[in-house]
Order: sequence, then structure tokens, then C-alpha cells
Amino acid sequence: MSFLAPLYLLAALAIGLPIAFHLIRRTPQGRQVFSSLMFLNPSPPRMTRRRWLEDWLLMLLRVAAVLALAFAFARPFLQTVMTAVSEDPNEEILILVDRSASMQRPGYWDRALEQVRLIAQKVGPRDSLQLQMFDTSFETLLSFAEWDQLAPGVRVQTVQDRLRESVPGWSETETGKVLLEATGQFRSEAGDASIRQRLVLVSDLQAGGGWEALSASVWPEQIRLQVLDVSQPGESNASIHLATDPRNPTSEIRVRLSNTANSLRDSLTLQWKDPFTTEAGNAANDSGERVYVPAGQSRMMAPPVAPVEGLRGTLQLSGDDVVFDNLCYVAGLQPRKLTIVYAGDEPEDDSSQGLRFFLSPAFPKDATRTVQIIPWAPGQAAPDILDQSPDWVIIGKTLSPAQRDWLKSWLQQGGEALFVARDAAQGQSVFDLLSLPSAPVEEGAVRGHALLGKVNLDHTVMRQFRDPRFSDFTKLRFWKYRRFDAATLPRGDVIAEFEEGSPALVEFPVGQGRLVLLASGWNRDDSDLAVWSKFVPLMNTLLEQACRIKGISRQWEVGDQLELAQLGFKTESVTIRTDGQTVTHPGDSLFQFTRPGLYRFAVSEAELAGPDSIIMAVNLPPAESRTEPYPVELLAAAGIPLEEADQPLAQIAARAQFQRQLLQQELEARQQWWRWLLWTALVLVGLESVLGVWKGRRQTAAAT
Amino acid sequence: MEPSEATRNRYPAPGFVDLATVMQIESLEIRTRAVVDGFFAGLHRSPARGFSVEFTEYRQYVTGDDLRYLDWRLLARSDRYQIKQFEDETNLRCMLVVDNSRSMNYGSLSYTKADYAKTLAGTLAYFLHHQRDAVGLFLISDGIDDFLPARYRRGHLQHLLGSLQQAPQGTGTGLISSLEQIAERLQRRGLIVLISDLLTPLDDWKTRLDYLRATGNEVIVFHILDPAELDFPFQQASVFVDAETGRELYIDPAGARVSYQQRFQQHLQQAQAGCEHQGVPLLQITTRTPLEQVLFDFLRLESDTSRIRRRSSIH
Repeated sequence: MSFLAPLYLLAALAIGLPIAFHLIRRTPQGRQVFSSLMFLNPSPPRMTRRRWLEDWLLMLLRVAAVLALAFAFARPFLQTVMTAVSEDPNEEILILVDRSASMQRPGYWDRALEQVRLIAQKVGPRDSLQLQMFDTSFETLLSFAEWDQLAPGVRVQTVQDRLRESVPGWSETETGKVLLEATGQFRSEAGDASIRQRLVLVSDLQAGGGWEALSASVWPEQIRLQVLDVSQPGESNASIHLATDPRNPTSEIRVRLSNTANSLRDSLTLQWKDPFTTEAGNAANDSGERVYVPAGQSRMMAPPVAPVEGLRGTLQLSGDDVVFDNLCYVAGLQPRKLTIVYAGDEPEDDSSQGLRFFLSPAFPKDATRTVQIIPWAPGQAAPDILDQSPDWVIIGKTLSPAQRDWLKSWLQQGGEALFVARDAAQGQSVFDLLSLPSAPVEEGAVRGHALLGKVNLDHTVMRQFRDPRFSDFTKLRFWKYRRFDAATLPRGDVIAEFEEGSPALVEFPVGQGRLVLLASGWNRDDSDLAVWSKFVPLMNTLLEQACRIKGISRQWEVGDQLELAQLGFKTESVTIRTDGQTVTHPGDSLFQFTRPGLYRFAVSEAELAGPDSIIMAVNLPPAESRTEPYPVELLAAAGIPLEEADQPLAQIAARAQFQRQLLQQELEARQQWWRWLLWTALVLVGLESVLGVWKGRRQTAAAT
Repeated sequence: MEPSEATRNRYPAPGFVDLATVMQIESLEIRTRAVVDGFFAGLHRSPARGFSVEFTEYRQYVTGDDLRYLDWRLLARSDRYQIKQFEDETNLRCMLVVDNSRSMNYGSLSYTKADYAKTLAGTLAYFLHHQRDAVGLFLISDGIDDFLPARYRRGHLQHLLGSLQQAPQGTGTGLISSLEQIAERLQRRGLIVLISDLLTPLDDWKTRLDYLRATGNEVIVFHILDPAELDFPFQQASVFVDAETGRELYIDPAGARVSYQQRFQQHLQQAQAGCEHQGVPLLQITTRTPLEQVLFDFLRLESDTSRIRRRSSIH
């Protein structure tokens, strides 16, 4: 049995008092009434052997009560086997090594490796270590289990080997998020005082490292954080980042130049580099433009005139100490020329409000494209567009057999067309294009006007109208339409139906291509479609679908992911080239940008240089350029218990002793022997009182 | 203490009832009558009959007089029925001063000092009343608890005996102050019989006796003691409680006995010396002393004092 406060056991010496009282104090045998005490003097007490023997039970009760009280105050407890054995708690050490882009700076990674080696060398034989690297997430290089299985002699070397295989990446840092996730990586439970938990952060502690997330969360009390700063004191940094919103491409590109507060250089050089080279040099180039950015400030400016049309390429900033963030990749603006082949009877300058009249206004020119509508003359078997393949074909009349054959072939090869049923007879020709058995097509019976009864808002064409503000189709009136029997169009994906249930807009896969059937025209004789507010977005969506022009950005940051299917190649694989390396990915997979640079996407390696390839630019996250280190005290202010890098052995021993005391206090608080002892003392005092009173009365009765 | 042979020869033979038996009689009147009757019975049997009271004159016999005092010779000579009168039979006013303090309530026998003192007082009263003497009573403790003037009339004896049966009171013996009050209250001279255990500081003892004597009174003191007060026979250490004040002391008799007896004897001697200085007879008796014997001593002492008084008045 152990005691929390053993000094209180000295109170047990008080048992000498009742013993002395029983030996010294002469309890009178009784009371004797006498006529007068004027001739008597009080007698002093003296010991008698007979008295001690008589009251031994009373004395024992008093002694036992004193002992019970002394033991209760000493707070006894029974040590469990576990606590008796574990004198020094084991330690679990989790090392997190920063591998973000800012660690690309010269010397940083080497210093980080050295710190990890020192930590690993100090790990005790009963301690355990886990090594992880992190930027926006962490990757485990060596787990606790692996460490425990390694022979002690090879542990440190294994750690070094694993680190040597790794290099810093180009991602940004989310230190706070990763640290909080790492606290869940320890094996021991939170209340297990026998194991110490230490999390070691090896990082450059850059201000843009996302440590603020720690302030909003509660750090586990039992985990101490040891911070090993590998930053270079006094190092300054200037950076360049694109300031243009990639979602809204304009004809003008602007960049932001920043300079850290401790920078001693404020004169920098900005110039364009070769578009497909990511190397950044540090030497000033006379061909560049001199820019002046004071320390601690940033400037927005337009870049120098690009040597490549469309302002595409690599901007290089030079003149500062750190070069990892001195390159800015610009994908530039690349307007596409789209060709729509229109097969109809109206002249090009038609003003009769037929199909052709409303077609040109539906496809205005913008920064990303220009749309040319080319008529398909009746005598031409194929559209006359200089041997180029049209992007989209709109059929608004009955095609000649040669034209029909060409269109069918073109659809099979991946082309996309819109078939507008002008009348029942012309509409019937769609079955041939679809290679379906011919079926009767009737004019729809319209009383006044017809409305759409059902619209599939989940279809990609209609998804843009899913918002309740835009999903009102009751203002679209049809005076004429062609009534197709849906049963005769088995492969069709009905996008919209008329009130009576016949399909109004149907999409058919044809080979590798697609045919969209519109059962009514947008000419004014047929409907209000051309003057309907949703007509232009509907037609442009169909055009984008056909021409693979998606709302995807051309400017990305490291760590972003691109759905390759959004590129619209419709191939099983996509070839990607960047920084002189070419890779192939499945056409429906996600591609993650892991390094800055210009990326070319094409259906094959041969197409990479062609006009159909898509160029995208990937840059560093701007936060990664905030390289000035933040003070470690900010982590302590966030409520995180910090551990000194090199603790004296005495402090370690003191902490171990403190842990032992905490464990003992917890044991005693659980067992609470003191309560039982206190109750025992009370019971003994009660018994002693009862026995004393009984003896006193007995003696008084005997004396009188 | 058993009376010696000389003592036994000096006193009349004991009566029919022994003291312990007499003291068990609850009624004080019956008790006292038993003692007196026993006393007279002893007188008749004893060769040393009579008291030492002198014959003074004859008076006419009346029905009821004790035939023992009938002068038979005179009857034979003159055919006249005359009763001898002794000096003490006439002109005696006796005030019994009985200590009624709580210390008198102690007794190591089956009766207390108070019981014995009251029986003695009652016996004296009965006897004196029988002798046609006026008897009065002072019951004292802290002060005078009760007072009956000396009278010889019908019912007075019963009244006196009734007063005697009051329970002991007071938390102290105000003997000295009570004697002073008694002296102030007495208007006619007489005999004062003090019955007390004298367990009080006797610093002014002589002065108060002198005061009583100076007013022309004769004083006889009966110093009542319990045998335990003399011998201190206790063996076990106990908490001794003062019967009068309630004070408690832890006393180990083995160690305290000698000093107690020394101091007690000093006290007795102080009382004796004070009385001797004033010419007051002091009779130290224990509660074992037969009451007839005490009565006899009383008569003897009274006779001596009256003879001295007559001589002094003659001269």
C-alpha cells in the first residue's frame, strides 16, 4: 500500500496519548459524598497496574480510532501492477516534415533531413516513432508499427533512407489542418498517462502555411508540440502571381508582384521566357522590364508585351534571393473559330423570321470564339468549308441523298447535328439518319397553341434551367409541331415533351456522334422559341456540347484536379505534356496538377502540337510565396503546449515524476480508501463513547 | 467506639431498645418517647439512680404526676401527697439550637447525623417538656431556618417535633452568624443547647460563645460526629463530593487519611478550646453514642450549670 501524503502517518504517534492517559490518569472508582471537604486536599493521579488491565478494550478502541484517522489523512492507495512497473512513461513521437513548395528553397530540405535524423537518434528503446510528410495532406513514410518491428540498430538508418527517397513538392501548406489530423495518428488513448505523446513539426514556418486553423480548434492536452524551424534567418523573397480571374477571361492579363518586408532589394526585372521551359534563372536579363516593388509592398501591373500571340507563356521575375516562386505561367487567350453548317432553304440574308434569320444572333462573337455559319448548298454532297470538318450541323430542310449519306458518315465519326423537323414529311427523314425503320410523323393537333408538358432538367442541355427562377417553360408556345411516336424512337433520350406526350427535343447517339431532334422550328410560324428568353442559352449549350467548348478554366494552381472528360476529347486516353515529359491518362479520370508549368492536352502525342490541343497553365498558390516565418509563440497563444527542442534530463525526469504523481492521484481518487478509514474512525469513536459511558455508570453504581 | 467499663458504670443501664432500632422509627415523636422511656427505665434499674439535680421544695401532688417523685416518707408521716421538686424542674427555659445544614445530612450508618441530632433534640425537648420546662427551637443552616420560642403549653411539643422534621437546607453552615442572630433574638435568659457537627470555620467561635454567655445564657454544646468523619475509613480513590457545597475533589484515601485526621483533630481541639475558654461544656459524641447516655450527660451538665448559677446568685 502506498500513500499520497505519508507525512500524515506521523499523526499515528498520537496513539501514545490514550496509552499514556490510561496508564497515568487514575479514573476514580466512583463518587463519594462526604460531609465536608474542608479538611481534605485533592490527591494527585498515579498509575496502577490494575487500572490499565481493566480498561484495555477502551484503550484499544481509542488507539484504533487515532490510527484510522492518521491513515485516512495519509490518503492510502493500492498500486496496480501497471503503475508499479511503469516508472518512466514511454513516448510516442510523430514527426511531420513540411514538403510544400517553400521547402524548395536551397538548404531547407537538407536542414529538415538533419533535424529528423537528430530526433530519430534520441528516440529511446521503448519509445516509438512515426514519420510523415505533409503539404495539404500527409503521407506516412514510416509508421509506429513499422518502427516497432525494426531492429533498434537500423531504425535511424531506415528513417534517413525513407527521407532520402522523398523530395519537396510544389503544393501549398496547410499546417493547421494537417497538425490537427495528425493528432489522431497516435496509438495510445488520451487518458493513458503512461505514454507521452510528442508531435514534432519540421517546417520553415512560413506565414502563408495555414497555421490559423489551429486557433479555431481545441488541441489535445496530452500531446506536446515540438517545432523545429528550418528557415534561413534574414532571407527575403519577391514573388509574381497572376492577378486575372481565370473564370472570367478578358483580353487583358495583369500580374501581382510582392516583396517581403525584410527585403533589401526593391528593384526587380520582369520578362517573358520560352513558353515550354520552367527553369527560372536568377540573373538579370537586359531584355526584361525593370519594376520597382518596395519591401513589404505589392504592385499590380500588366506584363510586358508577349512574344507569343495570345499572350501565352512564362513570366519570369528576377532580382531576389528566392527563385522558386519567380515564374508565372500564363495560358493566354485562344479564341476558337467555330463553324456551323446550316442546311436550309432560306437565303443568308433572310428576313422572313425563318430559321436562318434567328441563327446568327444566337451565336454572338466573344473572346473565346467566333462562330461562322456556312450554308450547305443543295448541290454539295459535303459542306464547303475548305476540307475542314464543321463543328456543328443544323438541318432545317430535306437533305439530298448525297447530303444524307455524308451526314450519316459524319455523325458516325463523331460529328454532332441538330435536326429541325419543319414538317411531317421532312421530319420523317430523320429515321433514315438514325438508321431506324421509318415511321409515320403527323402534324400535331394544336388548339390555339401547345406547350411543353415535361422537361428533363437533369439533362446537360437543360441543367442550366434547374434554378426555379429559370424553370418556367409556360411562356414557350408552339403553334405547329411534328408529332413523333416515342415508341418509334427507341434510342432517344427525351429532353422535353409536348403536353400530349410526344417528344419535343430528343437526343440520339449516332456512332461516335450525336443527333438532336427538335420536333418544331424556331421560325415564327412554328413557335415562340426564337424570341423566348431561353433560346440563346439553349442553342449555345447545344453548340458547346457539339464543339467541346466547356466552361473550364485555363489557369490552375498546383494541387487542383481536372476532370479529363471536361476536355471533350471523347477518347479512351488523353495525352498530357509538361516540362518535357509526356504522360497518358484514361479519358475519364481525374488529373491532378502536381507542379507549376504549361500543360498541353491532346487526344494523342501527335496532336499535342496541333490546333486542337488545349493549353493550360498551372502556378504556385500565392500563399506559398509568403515565406516570412511566423513566431512560434503564435502556436502557444493558440493553446498548444510546446516542448523545448533540447530539454535537460532533469526536466525530463521531473516531468516523469509529475506524471507518476498524477497517476497516483488518479489511483487514489478511484480507490478512496480514506472514506472507509474515516467511517471506521467514527464508528470506533462511537463505540469508545458508549463503552466509556457504560463503564462510568457501572463504577458510579458500584461506588454508591 | 464502645463505651469503657468506667463509662458503663457511670451511666444508667441502657434501655430496652438499641439506638439502631430506635433510629428506624420513622415518627420523631415516637422515637423520642422511646428514648426517654428507655432512659427512665434505666434510671429505675440503675443503682446510681437519679440525677444530680438538687431537691428544692415540695409541691402538691396532682393526678398524673410521676409517683417516683412522690415523697413517700412525708406521706407516711403526714399523710400528705407531695411531689419533690428539683431545681431544674422549675424556671428552666431551654432553647434547642439544631444545625440543619446539608453537612448534617451525611451519615455512614443507616441514619444520618441530622437524624441523630433531631432525635437527640426531640429527646431533650420531650424530657424537658415532661419536666414542665419551657423548650424552644432554633433550626439553623445558612441562617435561622425556623424559630419556636420557649413555651410550655399544650401542643407546643408536637409543634416543635414537627419543625425538627424539616429536611436539611442551605449550602453552608452559617453557625457563627446564626449564633449572633440567636443572641440578639433571645430576650430572656435560659439554657441554650447547641446540637451541631461544627463543620464550619471556627474563627469567631469563641466570640460568639462569649456573646451568648454575656447575655446570661447557659450553653451546652453537643458536637455530633459521624464515625466515618473520625476514622475516614474509605479505601478506594474516588471523587469526593461535599454534601454541603457540592464541591468535588479527587481523593485517594490512602494518601489523604493521615492529613485529614490531623486537620480534623485540630478542628476538634479548636472547638473544645473555644468552649473551655467560655466555660461552655462541649460533648463530642458520635452517631453511635446511645441517646440515653447523651441525655444523662445532658442532665448532669445542666445540673452542674444550674448549681453554679445558684451559687453565683447567692454570692
